[in-house]
Amino acid sequence: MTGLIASVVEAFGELRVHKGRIMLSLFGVAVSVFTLTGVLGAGGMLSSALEQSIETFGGRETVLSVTQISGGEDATPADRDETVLQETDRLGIEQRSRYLMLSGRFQTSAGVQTSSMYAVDPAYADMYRLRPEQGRWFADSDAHRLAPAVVISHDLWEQAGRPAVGTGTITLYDGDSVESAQALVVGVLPASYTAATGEENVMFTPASSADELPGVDDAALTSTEYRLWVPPEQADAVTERLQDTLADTPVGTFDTYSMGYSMEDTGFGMLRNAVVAVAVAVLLLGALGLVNISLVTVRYRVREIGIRRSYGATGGRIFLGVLMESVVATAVAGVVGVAGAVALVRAPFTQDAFRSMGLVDVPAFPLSAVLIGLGAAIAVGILAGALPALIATRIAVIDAIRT
Amino acid sequence: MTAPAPLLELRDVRRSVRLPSREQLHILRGVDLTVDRGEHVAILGRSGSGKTTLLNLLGLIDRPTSGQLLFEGTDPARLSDRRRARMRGRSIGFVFQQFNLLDGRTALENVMMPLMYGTAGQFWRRESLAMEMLERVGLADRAQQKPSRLSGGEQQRVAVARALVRRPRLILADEPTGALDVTTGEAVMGLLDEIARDSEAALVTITHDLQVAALSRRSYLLDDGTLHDVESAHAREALLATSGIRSGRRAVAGGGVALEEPPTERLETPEVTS
Repeated sequence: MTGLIASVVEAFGELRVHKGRIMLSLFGVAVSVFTLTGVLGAGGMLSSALEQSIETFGGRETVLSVTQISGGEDATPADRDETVLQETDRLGIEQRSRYLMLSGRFQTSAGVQTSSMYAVDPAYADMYRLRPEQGRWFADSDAHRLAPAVVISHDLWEQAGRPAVGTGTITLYDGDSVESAQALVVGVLPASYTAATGEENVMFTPASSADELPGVDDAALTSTEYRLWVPPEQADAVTERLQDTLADTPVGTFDTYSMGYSMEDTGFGMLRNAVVAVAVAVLLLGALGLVNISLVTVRYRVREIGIRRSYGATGGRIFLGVLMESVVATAVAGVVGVAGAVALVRAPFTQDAFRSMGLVDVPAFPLSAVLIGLGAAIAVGILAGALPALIATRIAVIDAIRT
Repeated sequence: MTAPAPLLELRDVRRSVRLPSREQLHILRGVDLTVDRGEHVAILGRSGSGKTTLLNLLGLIDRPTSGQLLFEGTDPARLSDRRRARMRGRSIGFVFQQFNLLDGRTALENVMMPLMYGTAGQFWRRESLAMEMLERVGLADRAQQKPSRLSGGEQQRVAVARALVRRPRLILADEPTGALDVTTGEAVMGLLDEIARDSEAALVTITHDLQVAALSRRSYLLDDGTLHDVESAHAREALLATSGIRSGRRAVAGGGVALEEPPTERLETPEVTS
């Protein structure tokens, strides 16, 4: 143990003595580690942004859809809900939502405009990672309001004249503009929602109070869907089970399938791998330069190594000493490179750029990127130090001292 | 009760190397030597006589081609490189002609260097031990100076401190005054001799300077690959015939040899100053 500590102490001493040379040789390594960590870190953040954007559109990876495909013409929405939700309760699925696609019409200063309208339960927001930029998402209590609550897209909010969130209302009409109702705006979704889904005018309202909206009757509520979010490891089993139990019910036949997208399907993984490959190539070039400098240095230090050996340094200690010099140096360069990459990726302007790409929840800088960056730096140190260290152990003490 | 083994014992030690022409060059042709603890022995010889080869064997850096070298009764040739290196670090201190201090390190760091390869206790106390030794050689106030800022004499004193910091039982000095002027050389040799005596370490000085050799209790001439007592007829003849061996102003005494020829003045090397 003392030998290892002594080697590290010796390595620091060497770095201090040769700091000019070391700084120059390590510049390339630090830049390479910076690039590698930055690419991995930014890639991780970008991946999260893309993932969150995809989830806004298609739901999280293990969101399942339970859709009625036939039968049950005489069943009421309440009957369907009872059958499906009882089954999901039996499986212990807490994250579930009814999903009704309706059409809405709302008043603007330029006349009545149409919009998509979705009647959902509160759990829907977590499944689709919806987070209002103003106000809030629904709560269970919103189903009992006299005026139906709505969460609207940013564009719709603008067109409706920016009503005060939480207290302001918008006027909704039925298809013939005969019936109208005031809906309370409880939340506004960010513009990134429209960027992710392509829908400009969107309203969400609680499914429990959907029948109070103008123009919404039993006929409009016939095609009920259900969305469930299940743990990834249970997704297949739950799908199979629901396909079985809901295949033939008194209220109709339901199909269960996965809604989510995998990041691998997007081609992003390939792009990230390509960028990492470039960073690794840069790192290897840096290592090559370091090997070259280390080899020259060992030749320059032949006499010193001879003197150390004459004072009892074993071949192993010389090997470890030269190796540690390289490892300690590249580790320091690695820390500098990683710190630079973290600072850049976490900088406010970079975070803003990620947010504009659809990042809702800003994740922490990926720990894996930090570990890979430091690991790569140390690996480069070992690679670059091993050959010179081996050569150093083969230096003939006698010749070295007389050099 | 058996007597303790001598510190160093060489029995018919031979060393030869193969030349590129495939011929064998016999450098040492049967060296016999015994060095006891605390003894001061000088080995004289002209350039190319095999002094350095012998020094490398004594310092456990090299192995004999044949014959036996025993260090405290142990044959180091039978030890692994690792154990031999440890034995060398623990038991032997080197003083070189060109000082061989590490560039860019202070005097203190140079003296601390051997302690990096010592025991855990020596490693953790390296600074205080090195400082103590620098005080012993009178250089405590120069501890933070780098070799380039020290004079030749000071550099050799740092080298002496470095050689002695691990309290070796054998000090091997290879032309320790070769790069110093007469006065400084005498001072350094006096210091080396004194510290070796105080620490009861044996001192083997390899030199071609009769004046330096005169400080030792026994002196040998390495000639034709074998050691000859300087009082032997062969040694006297060889010394007189060899112009490569320099004599000092004063007569060689204390078991040395009295030369009949007028002594040659030693060349003085300018003292290296910052």
